[in-house]
Amino acid sequence: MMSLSPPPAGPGQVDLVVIGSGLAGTAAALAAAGPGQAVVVVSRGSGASHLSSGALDLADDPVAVRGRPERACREVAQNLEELLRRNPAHPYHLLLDGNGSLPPLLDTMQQSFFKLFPADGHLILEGSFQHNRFAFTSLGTIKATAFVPQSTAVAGEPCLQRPLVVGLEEFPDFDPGFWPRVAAPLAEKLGAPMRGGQSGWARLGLAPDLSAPELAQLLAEAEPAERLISALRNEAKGFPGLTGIVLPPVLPIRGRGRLLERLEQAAGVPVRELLSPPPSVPGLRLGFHLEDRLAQARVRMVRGSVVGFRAEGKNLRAIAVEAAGKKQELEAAQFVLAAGSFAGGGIRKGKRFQEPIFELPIFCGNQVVGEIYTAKLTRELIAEPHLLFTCGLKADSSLRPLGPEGAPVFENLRVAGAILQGSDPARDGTGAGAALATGWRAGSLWC
Amino acid sequence: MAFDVIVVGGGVNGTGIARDLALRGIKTLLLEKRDLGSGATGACSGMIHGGLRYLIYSIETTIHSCQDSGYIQKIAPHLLFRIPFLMPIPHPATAPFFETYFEVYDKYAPLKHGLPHTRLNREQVRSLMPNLSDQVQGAITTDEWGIDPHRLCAANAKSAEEHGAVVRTYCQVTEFLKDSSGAILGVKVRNRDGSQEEIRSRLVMHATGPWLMRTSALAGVQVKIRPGKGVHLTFDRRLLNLSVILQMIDGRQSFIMPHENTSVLGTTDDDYYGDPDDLRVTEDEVEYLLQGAERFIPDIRRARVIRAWAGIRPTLYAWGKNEDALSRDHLVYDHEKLDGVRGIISIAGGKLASYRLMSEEAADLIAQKLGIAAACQTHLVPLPGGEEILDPAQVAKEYGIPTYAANRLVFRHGARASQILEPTRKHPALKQVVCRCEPVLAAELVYAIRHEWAVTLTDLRNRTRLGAGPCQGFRCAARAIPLLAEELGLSGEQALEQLLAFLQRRWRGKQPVLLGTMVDQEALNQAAYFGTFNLDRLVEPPDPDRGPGF
Repeated sequence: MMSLSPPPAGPGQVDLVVIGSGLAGTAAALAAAGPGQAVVVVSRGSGASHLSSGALDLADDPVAVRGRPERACREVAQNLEELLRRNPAHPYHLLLDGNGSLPPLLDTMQQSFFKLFPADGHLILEGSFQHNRFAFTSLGTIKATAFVPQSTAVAGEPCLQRPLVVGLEEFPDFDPGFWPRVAAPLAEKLGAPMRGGQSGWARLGLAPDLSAPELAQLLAEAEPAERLISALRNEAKGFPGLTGIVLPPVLPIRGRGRLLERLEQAAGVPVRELLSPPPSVPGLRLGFHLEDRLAQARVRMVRGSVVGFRAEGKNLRAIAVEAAGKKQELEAAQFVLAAGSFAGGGIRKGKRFQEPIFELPIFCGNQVVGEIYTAKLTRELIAEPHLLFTCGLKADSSLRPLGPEGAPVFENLRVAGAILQGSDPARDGTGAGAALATGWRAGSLWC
Repeated sequence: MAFDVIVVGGGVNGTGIARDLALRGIKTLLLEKRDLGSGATGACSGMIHGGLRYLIYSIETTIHSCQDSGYIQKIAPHLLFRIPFLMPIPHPATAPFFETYFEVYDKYAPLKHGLPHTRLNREQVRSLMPNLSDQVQGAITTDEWGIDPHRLCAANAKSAEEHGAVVRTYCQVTEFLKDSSGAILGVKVRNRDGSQEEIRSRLVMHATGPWLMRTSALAGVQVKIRPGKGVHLTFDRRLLNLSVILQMIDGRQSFIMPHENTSVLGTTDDDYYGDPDDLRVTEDEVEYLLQGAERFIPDIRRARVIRAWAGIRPTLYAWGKNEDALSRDHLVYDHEKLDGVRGIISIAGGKLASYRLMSEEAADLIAQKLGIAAACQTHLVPLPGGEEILDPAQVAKEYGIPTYAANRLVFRHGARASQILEPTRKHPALKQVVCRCEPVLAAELVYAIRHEWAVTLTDLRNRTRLGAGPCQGFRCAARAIPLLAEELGLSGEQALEQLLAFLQRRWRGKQPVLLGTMVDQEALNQAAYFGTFNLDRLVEPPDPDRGPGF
């Protein structure tokens, strides 16, 4: 990236610039923001957080037995210990204290979580720091996770004993007839069997073949919402004895709570949404919620891509942001890079691995990787874990990214989230936890 | 149950021969150990080649290729599409040589309804292809016909079945039944569920392509081939609607050509000594193709490669020749004469374009041995779908489907497209687009499962190109699995296993080309199927599927 000449004198200095507005970037910004602290977040607009399922993973069970999900250890602390033991490169290690014990890590995670998702906020998550729970997906499978959006279908809930599974004709990505084929045997294995259920369809009279976000947008309007309400009312009438209704996650991004209430009133039973892969409405909702939190904390958001920086030796002075053909320079005392991994755009692999903003070296398993045939970092079976997706930046205990010699590249740059090496943010079962914890730490540390 | 003939191998020759035999009233069983066209046929470039290349040293091959290309057009007009070819000329001095070459080739072109060549100057070439390298001083145009080899196999097998043959996929020959003199009496097979059975026949037609040496050893006969590995790369879209003849670093010719609704770059040709069931595309092969293409198309690396796949040509054996110079001729082996072993015939070599001719020769020999007088009809009787040429716009209007979907449906199924769409009148849900990249409608998937022996998602990929486009199954796999489960009565667990097996197969072709957005997309793919759907924790890992990977 090119160096830029210093800008003309401008308004008051910024204390912290955070690059990236996902979980990690938001955590960093909120940790730092406060009276007398000017924080700016630079964001391209959307990243991996928007593409997530909306569930937050803190610590999965690394030894969950295939096909025997009921055996999965669901104690988060136990999972963490096992994970840390098996993976010495995991970013969680950066947050342990000198003795390598867990409490500092758990404290950081919790502080971060409650600041991003306050109990009186608009996005209510359900879960705990002690136990994982099994959430149901739109395919009928179960996923162990720590926190899910409120009213997500979770195994063991009484309302799922005799569920009415409803699909929408305009939404072909969900088949309510297929869902029980997968979900029912899994529920049985978990000791919470479904004692019968039914499948139904709702027709909203909309264009065919809509994506979940499109449907969510339409359901924010009165007429389609009314149709959904009537449909559920009718379907529920045709199934006496039902305990709850299961829907794919297509309710509006804003105003979900209100519609959910009305649906439950009409049907007379609880209504639950499932988790789904991208494009996922709960993911979008999460992304927008993070932006809302930043706005509430009076953190300034600058939209654009980072296209350059200016440094004096090991001191990062400013970054250049480009948006709609215009460039502006942002000076600050401290910087946090939370630009994500491949899905977020913080790391790229062409002929060589690249961190495109500061050209920081990429590590894999603590070794620098440059030009390498990508397939070498993958395994033959797709279901096995791949080193490729764990590649990222190496950081010291202050979360400063290291150069190839092992020294921090800049004194006042910290990194957080999926851009760190050592974890596969999507498959590790720790994506959200690592983002929350490292983000919070990066925002709390000062030179 | 006894048959006149058992055909072993469901590639283009196996299915072509089964059809020829069935049309002659011969009671035929076709056995294929995986899905139709899973070997050399599925991995080929997808062209009914007029044999341009062989003009110099094997004019017979050229004549036969052109002639039979004409027959195939007649029996399956829907399956072929014209590919204009551009042969760039770097040095004007060589132009006269090429012109002469093409003037001779023009003489045979009418046999395959090809157009005569033209010569383009620098400006004309640039207007067709602005991103062609400055080196190119002009070009010569010619044309060939493209074809979907999977559809060709399916059509031949369907025709065979409609004339009384039995088609069994996922049925592997494990032994040849012999009498005390070594004569072949039939085969022993292992089915998908593990069960075994013995099936007798008067003759066995041995058409296993890349596996010929293995299976002929089982039978106690000698068929020697010189297996030649060929690799292709698929791009995410049509980069051009014409084919460009490229020159590789070692002087070989290769093409970048339109292939279904993508473009494909290939191919290589290397002696292969490995396991035909374990094909890998190497870094070198990918680089060889891209480097070669870069010479005439300097910005080729900016295009997104979505897949790499490999196949083995069952080329006739010859010592002392470079791979490229090997004959593409074919041979039918009468083992009674050659090895003193009765009851078995083999076939090797050849090209896709000559499959019908090869099948005719084999079937003639079989008929002779069985004392049956019926003559070949495969050049006269249309293949299923080839009976009539439908107008896709009409089809789209009549059934209320998108025109592009109708185009693709008519391309794959010809006149049978109506039959496939009829059920949508009563069940409009069958008009649902399942694969958006292609597109593929639910009705076509149902048809493939009920009438074209499709039992896995990869079989559906072969019949309809589900998952073969830029998304590589990211969206459509999850949409297609409920349909497959419903049709085949799969349990939830079985359905998830099928889904994972399909993802595994898609993965195999992606691994060699994980660059740029392909890595980003794969990160999302993994997040979806393993992060959210959790398949890796819930399903036993599938067979690594070390086949061709297309």
